[in-house]
Amino acid sequence: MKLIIPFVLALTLSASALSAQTATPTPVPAEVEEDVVGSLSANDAKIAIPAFATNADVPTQTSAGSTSTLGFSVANVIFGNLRSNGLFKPTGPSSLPRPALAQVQSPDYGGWRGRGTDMLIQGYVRAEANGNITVGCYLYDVGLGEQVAKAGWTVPPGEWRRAAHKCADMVYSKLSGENPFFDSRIAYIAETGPKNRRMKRLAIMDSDGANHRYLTTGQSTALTPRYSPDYKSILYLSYYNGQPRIYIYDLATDRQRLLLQSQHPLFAPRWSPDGRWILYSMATGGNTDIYKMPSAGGAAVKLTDAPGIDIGGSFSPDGQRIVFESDRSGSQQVYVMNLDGSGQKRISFFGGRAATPEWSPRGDQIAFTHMAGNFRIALMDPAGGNLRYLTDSWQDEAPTWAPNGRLIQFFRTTRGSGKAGVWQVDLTGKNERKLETPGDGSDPAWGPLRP
Amino acid sequence: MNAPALNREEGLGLALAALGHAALVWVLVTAKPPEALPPVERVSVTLSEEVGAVSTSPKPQSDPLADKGPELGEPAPEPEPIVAVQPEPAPQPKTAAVSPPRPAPAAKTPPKPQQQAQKPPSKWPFAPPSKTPPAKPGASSFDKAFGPGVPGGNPKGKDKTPPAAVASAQQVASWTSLIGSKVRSPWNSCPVSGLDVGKLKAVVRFTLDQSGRILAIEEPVITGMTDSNRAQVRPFRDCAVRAIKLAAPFSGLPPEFYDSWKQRKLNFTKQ
Repeated sequence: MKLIIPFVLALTLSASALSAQTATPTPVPAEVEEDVVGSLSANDAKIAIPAFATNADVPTQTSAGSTSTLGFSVANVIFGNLRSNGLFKPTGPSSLPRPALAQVQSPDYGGWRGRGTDMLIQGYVRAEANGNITVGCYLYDVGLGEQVAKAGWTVPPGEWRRAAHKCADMVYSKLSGENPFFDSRIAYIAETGPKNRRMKRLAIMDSDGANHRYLTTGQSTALTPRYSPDYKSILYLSYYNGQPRIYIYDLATDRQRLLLQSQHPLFAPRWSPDGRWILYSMATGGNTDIYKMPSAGGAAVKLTDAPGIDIGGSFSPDGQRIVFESDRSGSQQVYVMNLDGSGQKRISFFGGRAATPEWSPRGDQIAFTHMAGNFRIALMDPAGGNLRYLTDSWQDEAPTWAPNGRLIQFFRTTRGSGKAGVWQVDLTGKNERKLETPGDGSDPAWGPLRP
Repeated sequence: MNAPALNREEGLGLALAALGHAALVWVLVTAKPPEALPPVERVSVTLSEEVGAVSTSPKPQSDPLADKGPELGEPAPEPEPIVAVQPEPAPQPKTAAVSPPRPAPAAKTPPKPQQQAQKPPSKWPFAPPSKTPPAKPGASSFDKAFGPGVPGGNPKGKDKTPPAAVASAQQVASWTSLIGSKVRSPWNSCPVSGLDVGKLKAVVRFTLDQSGRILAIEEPVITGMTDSNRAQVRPFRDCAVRAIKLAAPFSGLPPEFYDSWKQRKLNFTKQ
């Protein structure tokens, strides 16, 4: 059921026309120049997303109803994606006129300009004879009066939301320059029950919270999930009657493989970027160290042996270095080392404590939890410079990166109630939002952009 | 009557006085005149921020255009080109300005504002489509009323700026800021966000034609790239070009001083 067929993927690049017209420099008396200074906080890109049109209003097998109501729902999903993102000021289908099918490919620029629209997303929904749904998506620059991008997808009726996410992704990546991420899934730990008998289950959901599903029953406690680099499986830590185990859960078959079990406490299993190695930490005799073992199973190699707690390694994207946390200096701080454990060096000198470092998929930043009074999500460069705070709350911890390296998820515990929720923030620290989960949530891990 | 004779003392005194005068005259005539002091040079200092490198003196014989268009009243509908002998293909409204001179309509066509005839016939391909609908008959032309012109000028005049031989630096500066201020709003309506985006700078050179339309935009030159803002370079560049396209055409630039504004350079940043 993972069928998704892209068609008409030709993108009209607005910039491509540029190269054609280069000015021949003519002798000019004096070149007059001027600085045009814009505001980074200005968020004036008004995007209109009217309901998608349809050729014929017929019933569909989707949860959204007929093609007409489906066209509305598709636009609404796109609206939700772009609204939560902070880059744009979108207007959704409930407050916009619905264009006719003929207008989808030749928009009424004048009318949209009159509404102050900068960008316009239009599209159509068509029911195929075999029950599949075809969604066409067009992005227009209303100001310039030109088409910026277009694409279409044919999806099984049960996956109609994915077509909407694909459309939002096309718009997002075109306008932001970033890799798309809406058509992705998130794994996290769903928490229910009272504090002393907390049930912690591995769960997954779409990036907008839809299609929520529990993967484990809750008989054992699940912790610290991480998607594999090919996003086909999830590595996580499980405690059953005090027995720690590391599992790899295969998402295609819904079966899991036991990678490691131990009498000693295990922590924080992580993948190497090539998926061939697993890092984990193990506590023996009051000393916690980081180990590396093949993801296919086999003998482990101990990478650290300093007295104290060394924990939570995260690979650099080139797989050559590992960032981890250690209290060998007397308090938790962030260190880097080479792949074989050599060259261990402390990089965090910000006062307070620094924990749970995660190397960005772009390689230029390390996210971590800075604990000086409150717990805050922060960034630094791999040399330990350029401290930047992304959040400012009571207790934010355990950052993980979205695959595009643009967003970070973490979990936030509310002062007093102790309730934990999954949050995300972008690298500017400006666009923070809570992900809607059925109950409490912790330990988020952002999954793949789906194929 | 005999004049009383001079007595001896009087004669002596007179002789002495004459001698003294003679001596004085001799001294005055023969003495070297004192060297003349150099005249005091007066330096007049004018404190002014207007630095005109060239004369901007008035053109006395100017024929200023009024800043307000004549009342249109109830103008006759646009006359169809009446060509008796050779009917031409369907008239194209966009090339109306270059169509052959129309036959004078019956009688009541009011004089057309000069600026309309100066609109360039060709449309730059990337300029946004004209937003002004065709004027309805009888509608007063608000837009035209505030067109470039000189207060109190002659409705049939040709000059759109105060008469001067060459643009002053102050004028050039005002035209520059006219362009920059028009570009700023569309620059802000283009979203660019991310780490180190404040370090990016796009230098864009472009050329305008005499009516303020874009002739060409050069490929922007981007500086300030870091590992963290690499992904934003393309939208940053696209947004800068888009802002210029959306702000064009730049009206109000005097064609007489075309050389002083035809080539522009804008430095785009976001802070």
